[in-house]
Amino acid sequence: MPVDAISLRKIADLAAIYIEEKELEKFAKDMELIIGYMEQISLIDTGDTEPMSHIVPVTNVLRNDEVTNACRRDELLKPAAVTKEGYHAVPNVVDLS
Amino acid sequence: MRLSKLQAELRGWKNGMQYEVVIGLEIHAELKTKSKMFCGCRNVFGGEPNANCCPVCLGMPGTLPVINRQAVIYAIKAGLAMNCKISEFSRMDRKNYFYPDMPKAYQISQYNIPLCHDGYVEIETDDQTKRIGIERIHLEEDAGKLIHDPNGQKTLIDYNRCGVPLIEIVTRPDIRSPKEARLVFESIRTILEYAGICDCRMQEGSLRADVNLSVRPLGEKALGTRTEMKNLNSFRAVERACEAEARRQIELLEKGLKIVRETRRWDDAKQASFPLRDKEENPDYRFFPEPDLVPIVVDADWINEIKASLPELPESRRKRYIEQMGIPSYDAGLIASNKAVSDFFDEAVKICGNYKLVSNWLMTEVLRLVNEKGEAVLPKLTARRFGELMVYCDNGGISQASAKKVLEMLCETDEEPCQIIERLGLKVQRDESIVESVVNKVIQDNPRAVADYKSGKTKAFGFLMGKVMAGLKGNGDPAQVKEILARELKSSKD
Amino acid sequence: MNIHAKTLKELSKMLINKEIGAVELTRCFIDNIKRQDKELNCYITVCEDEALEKAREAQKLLDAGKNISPLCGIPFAVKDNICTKNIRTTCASKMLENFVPPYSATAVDKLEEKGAILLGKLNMDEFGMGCSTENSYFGPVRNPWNTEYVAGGSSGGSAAAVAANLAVFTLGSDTGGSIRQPAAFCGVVGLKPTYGLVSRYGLVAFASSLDQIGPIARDVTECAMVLNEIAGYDPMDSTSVKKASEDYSENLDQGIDGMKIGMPEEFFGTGLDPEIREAIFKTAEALERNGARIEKVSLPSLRHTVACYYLISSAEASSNLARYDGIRFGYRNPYAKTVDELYKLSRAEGFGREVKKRILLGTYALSSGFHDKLYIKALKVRRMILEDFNNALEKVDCLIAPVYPTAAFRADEDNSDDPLTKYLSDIYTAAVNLAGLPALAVPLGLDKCGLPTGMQIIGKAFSEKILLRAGYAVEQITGRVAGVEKRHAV
Repeated sequence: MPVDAISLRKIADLAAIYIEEKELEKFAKDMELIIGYMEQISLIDTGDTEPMSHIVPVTNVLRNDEVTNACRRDELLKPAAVTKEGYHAVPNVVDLS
Repeated sequence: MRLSKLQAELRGWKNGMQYEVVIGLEIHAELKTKSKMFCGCRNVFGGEPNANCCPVCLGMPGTLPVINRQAVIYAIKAGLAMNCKISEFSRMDRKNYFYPDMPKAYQISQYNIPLCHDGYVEIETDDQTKRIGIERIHLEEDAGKLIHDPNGQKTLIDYNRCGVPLIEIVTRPDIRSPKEARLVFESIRTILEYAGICDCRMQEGSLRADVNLSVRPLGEKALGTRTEMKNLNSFRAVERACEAEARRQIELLEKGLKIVRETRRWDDAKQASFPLRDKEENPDYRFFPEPDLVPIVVDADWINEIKASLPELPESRRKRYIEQMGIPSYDAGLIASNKAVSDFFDEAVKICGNYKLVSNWLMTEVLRLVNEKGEAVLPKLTARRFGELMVYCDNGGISQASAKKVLEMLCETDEEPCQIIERLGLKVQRDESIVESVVNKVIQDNPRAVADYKSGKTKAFGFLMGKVMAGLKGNGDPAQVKEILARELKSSKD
Repeated sequence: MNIHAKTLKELSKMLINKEIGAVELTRCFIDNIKRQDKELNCYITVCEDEALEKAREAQKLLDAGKNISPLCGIPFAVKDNICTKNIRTTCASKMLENFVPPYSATAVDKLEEKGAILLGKLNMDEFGMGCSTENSYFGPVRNPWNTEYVAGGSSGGSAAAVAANLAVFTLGSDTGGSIRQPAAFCGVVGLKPTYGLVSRYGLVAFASSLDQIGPIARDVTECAMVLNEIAGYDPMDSTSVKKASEDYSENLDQGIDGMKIGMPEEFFGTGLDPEIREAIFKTAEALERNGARIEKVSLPSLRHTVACYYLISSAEASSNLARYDGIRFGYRNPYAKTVDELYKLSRAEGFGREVKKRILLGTYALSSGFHDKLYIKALKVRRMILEDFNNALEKVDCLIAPVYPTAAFRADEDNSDDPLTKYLSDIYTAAVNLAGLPALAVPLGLDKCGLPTGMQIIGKAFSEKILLRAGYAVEQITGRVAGVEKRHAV
């Protein structure tokens, strides 16, 4: 599938990664080669094989409904670059619902 | 048949076209587990921001989710209470999108294989029972809360709510009017309350509804373009929002314009909805099975165990009150609509078998107390003592007025009804000799009234009755007093 | 002999017999790091103070003399995508350059509980994506055998550190070969355990259904001893498996008499370096002489490995790496005026090029319109690959296979015009991750250029004991790869 700058931008938006203009061409070329190769998987005859989404032959791994965590707010806020009075913070979000 | 204003509009639009409203509800209910869905953080409303968080619900690198068993049980309970089939095999999926209230940038939810599916709830409309299909109920986690910072150009994030277990209940688009929408929402809320899985506090956000609404010309099979409405914080808001949106859509269609598929936010103050600017239509969530979790398998034994733990549900109780107790439909519905009240009633009628009497007292006096003092008054009263009080009423042991007094006192004290009645001397006085002596004293003390009565002034009789009742400290049996007074007056000397 | 070159068992004995103290031993390794690592660049972070403190604690355990683990007082290091409490964990990325986790991975906790000493965090390809450790924000890792060559990846630092005796053993992670390939490049032993045997809690996720933490050590015995400590069910990891615990270091010398060993014919074609093929065949013959039976097997679906692996791993990675937005942790663009900008710029600036490519590939594979054609299809092929392995492993006890088409390649080889070649080289290793099976990489010797060659032994799920026994037998044949110590001995 040809991957041009426009379709690459769309994927990059979906992935929330900004790609600079000057990089777009090179990225698109690389992605076209990579995707071109990966797409051959759609030609494989998989018959009636079911998709495998879990390899571990286990089910019902469930925990008891217990409160095991104490408040660690200050410790857990530390790794954040920007906080305010115990809250995390981002630039203004429009349409808070 | 009374029509709502909207229904009337739907029936006769300007150019004669009639429209049908098609509504589906998506209801999110927070499960009242002790801990969150995937970690051991406390599941509680409010509190200091970010105080109930851990590396797992904050989505820190390397952390992994582990499913809360109680959340699964509650979800199955909800499914059973709404007549759903429970999936023998189901799994969690990732719903991927970026938004600041989602730390992992994906929500762990269920997509292809929900835990419950193909159920229904029933509502009463125009004295008919209508079935509304429940397409699915699935488990997922809640997101954090975004708050606008009043002091700056920022949005603040509190992740306390992040990871709280939710069930999402999706109805089929079987709803055909705003009123039905409200009834369905109310019915589901009552069911969730009965099942004991959600505290249903809409003002705290533990129960939320989104509405999907479209209109189509009457008779048309294809569905119209639908819009989604969010931020509906009360049952009335659901009804009003549906009315407004149906009207808005019909007006557009009448003008020859197309309905835009969009998400709108309901503003209750303005009684109108507005399109959400930031929401992308048809977002690509790229669902795929959650690789950090393993599937959930539910066998018949587990289902039966959970079924056995469900109490009798509202619909069944309502029918029982009508059919077995002869209670009027409206009253039956009202009592069944609240589990605490219904449980209270069921306990009380075990003691006093006069269903109509008990239900009348419940509907008037007891519910008044509940409105004044809150539901906590019920366990204070205790259904048993209320039942015993009703027995007194039933056999005329005390008067209505006295019973009301006793009821008030039962809210404050641990005393038994018989103790209170004894202490305050409230028992109806039916000893003929005592009544006779009081009657005769009143006749003696009120010669003018007696004379008035004898000369034909019937009002005087009432005056004398009042005096006798007062003399009996209000505990006279009106019928008996009347009889004895009349007798004594007749036989008294002129 | 240099103290760094002593085996784990020898060091443990010395510590117990008080021939050396824990603090002294730790200091030896730290000094060795200071001497050698400028050139090799194995370590991103060396936690000298913390290590010495832990050594003092370990000494107390040794002095108490009760129930001492063979790992007590033994210095180790872990790949920098394994979280360590209060010690920087960067995943070799600008995105996490200053991230200090308030928790440790379960595997690290287990080792530290037994008194092992954490020396520091090891260099790697960013977020585990790469096969040379040249995709690191902190510079590449050099191969200790010849610093003009790469150490392999993505656990390059982990393998090189062991080879250069900058730690007694290390932990790496393997998603498509990231423990085995650098182990082969550096002439050390590396194990990718069965999926679910070792807890993934605290391992920064790349591809959740493929990742496993595993030990890298200088010989099979040490590898087994470390596995003993880190294996086991973890309630914090829903994909970890409950099973009876085993002693993996027991009866390693039982020999391989009667063991049936399969060689997949698809793996020994023209794509493989002839020297490596020769070395593996020779080893197979020697194993036969020692009582094993070599059989040819066929795994036809394995030719689809690369597409299947890259689609699944990139899809999962695109989702696992979406949490890096600079809000709660990690690199945050300071100038963003909207939330949209915050996400897009922080991620554009925080991630390296290879990481971005994988995220884009994964996003594409999951996106509407391509989801069924690519992602779901890959899940079907995955099952076919597992079935092929299961069929083959019904007939034999284990398989032997190459790890990489070549030995270590030159650093700074410019492949900017060809994004695919490196991907295609994962053909031997990635299928094992897709099937969730265990595989042990063992060194075979040095090639003509003086660089290590290796092979892998692949087994049924939870058959690590068989792999280790076979690996031990190979070790008896080829000898423990000595030499690097000699070169760097002081």
